[in-house]
Amino acid sequence: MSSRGRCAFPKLGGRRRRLAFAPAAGLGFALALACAGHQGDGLDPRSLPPGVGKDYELFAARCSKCHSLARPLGSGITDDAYWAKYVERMRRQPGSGISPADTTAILRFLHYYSQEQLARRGGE
Amino acid sequence: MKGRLLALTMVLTVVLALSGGRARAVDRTFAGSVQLDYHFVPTQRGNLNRGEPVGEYGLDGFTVEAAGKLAVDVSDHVSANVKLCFGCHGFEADMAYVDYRPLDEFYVRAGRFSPSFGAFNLRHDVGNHKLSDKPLPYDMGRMLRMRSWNMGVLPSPFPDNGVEVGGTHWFGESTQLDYAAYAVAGFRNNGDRMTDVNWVDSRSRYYVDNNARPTVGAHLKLTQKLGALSDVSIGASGMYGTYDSENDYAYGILGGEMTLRIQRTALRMEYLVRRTEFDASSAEGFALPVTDAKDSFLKHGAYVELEQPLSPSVDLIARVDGMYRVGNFLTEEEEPTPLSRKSSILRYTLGGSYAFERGFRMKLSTELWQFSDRDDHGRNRDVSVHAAFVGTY
Repeated sequence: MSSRGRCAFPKLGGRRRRLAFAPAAGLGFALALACAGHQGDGLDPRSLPPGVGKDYELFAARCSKCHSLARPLGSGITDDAYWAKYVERMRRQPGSGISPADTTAILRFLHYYSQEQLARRGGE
Repeated sequence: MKGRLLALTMVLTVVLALSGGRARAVDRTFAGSVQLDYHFVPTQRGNLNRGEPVGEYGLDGFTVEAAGKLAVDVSDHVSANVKLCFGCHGFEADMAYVDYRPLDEFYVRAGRFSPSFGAFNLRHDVGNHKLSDKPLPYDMGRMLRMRSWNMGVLPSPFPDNGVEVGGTHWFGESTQLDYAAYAVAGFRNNGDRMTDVNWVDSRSRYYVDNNARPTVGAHLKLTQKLGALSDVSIGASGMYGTYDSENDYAYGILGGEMTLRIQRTALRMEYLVRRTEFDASSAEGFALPVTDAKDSFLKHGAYVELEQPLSPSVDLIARVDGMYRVGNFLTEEEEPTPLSRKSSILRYTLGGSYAFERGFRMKLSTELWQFSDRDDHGRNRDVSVHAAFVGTY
């Protein structure tokens, strides 16, 4: 009923081979765009004021463990009390790795980010 | 009398929960995601189910998954979550539960939710994992040969009705312990012949439990910080219950997990095994000789995945996953099931994710499949390609 074969890459026709490797080509294109300075989900730490960069790095490392950074950075939240609850909820997630002391630095960054967002909205 | 006492206790619990530590205002957070994926299998001439019912060998072409989640903080201790999903099964409630959490070390969750099992389920939303497809042990419709394998070991998500208690505790600033135990309705088979869990029965008519015996389980996880930006987590999970209306046939699932994070680089691995008892009182339809009235099969599954950011907008993901099934199975003379007493799948995935802008991402991946058994077309190796766009809000 069954037969076993050695691992070998399946033979594909020329057109199908091109299609199968399209993702690799797409990724290469994306990488080229990224090298051109595209920002992505997060922030460029080099663009942050001295002192904020370190807080951001902790935020980025801890808060990208279960979801992308687009979730918090795109949430539109600018209220410090709201952020405190939000981070508290995340801290309690299994394996979050966010210790009680980490929340201070994370909230410090989120306060900075919120002020930036508010200033930007005010300027529009 | 007992029922009234229980009802009174529940009402008192809710009143006490709401009266203590009232939040300044009811806070609401709305979030969601949408993914459009195109799955192409060139080795099956670009039409996976040609001549067969749709979904017989898997889902190719376009699929869309969308979800919206509302989290409400009713008070400092009580919160509610509702998440609705739209995908291959139409609209479904992925979450509809209330949490009572008076302290870090203790919460009670009641309603509809995915019980704590393993590491992947926490990231099962399409916005939270960077490949189009889930790891094989947790796979549903995107795996090839999904009918003959009856999907993964524990198809994710697995929302169910029930109650969970748990908590988290920090030992100092570097060690986190998470624990949870639950009782839920459990998986089902509403048919006449109990040969495996029926995932369709388990998700449809979700308000009706086919037996009164809950499925119980627990999860334990230890996280150790290795530095300011790195940590390692290890965990173990277990689940046990019966899936038939007579409580004659049991399933038990065990899992182990490990995640290593060094800055933004993540190495994840999980192993799951499910033992499922089935009715072998009649040899009719079985591929292998039957000896006892009750038999069982084992389904093992594992994955190892490396996620490496190459730049702020590009992530590279490499994954090796597989499944190994040991035991009897149903087959047909005209169309033999492509399984044997010991069958395996091995899959190699290389993919990438590119964020055009915050909240909008492209996912691309190529998978090489290697099966121990040949299919109807004589193939035991396949290549498949995923191209997806995902948005989060």
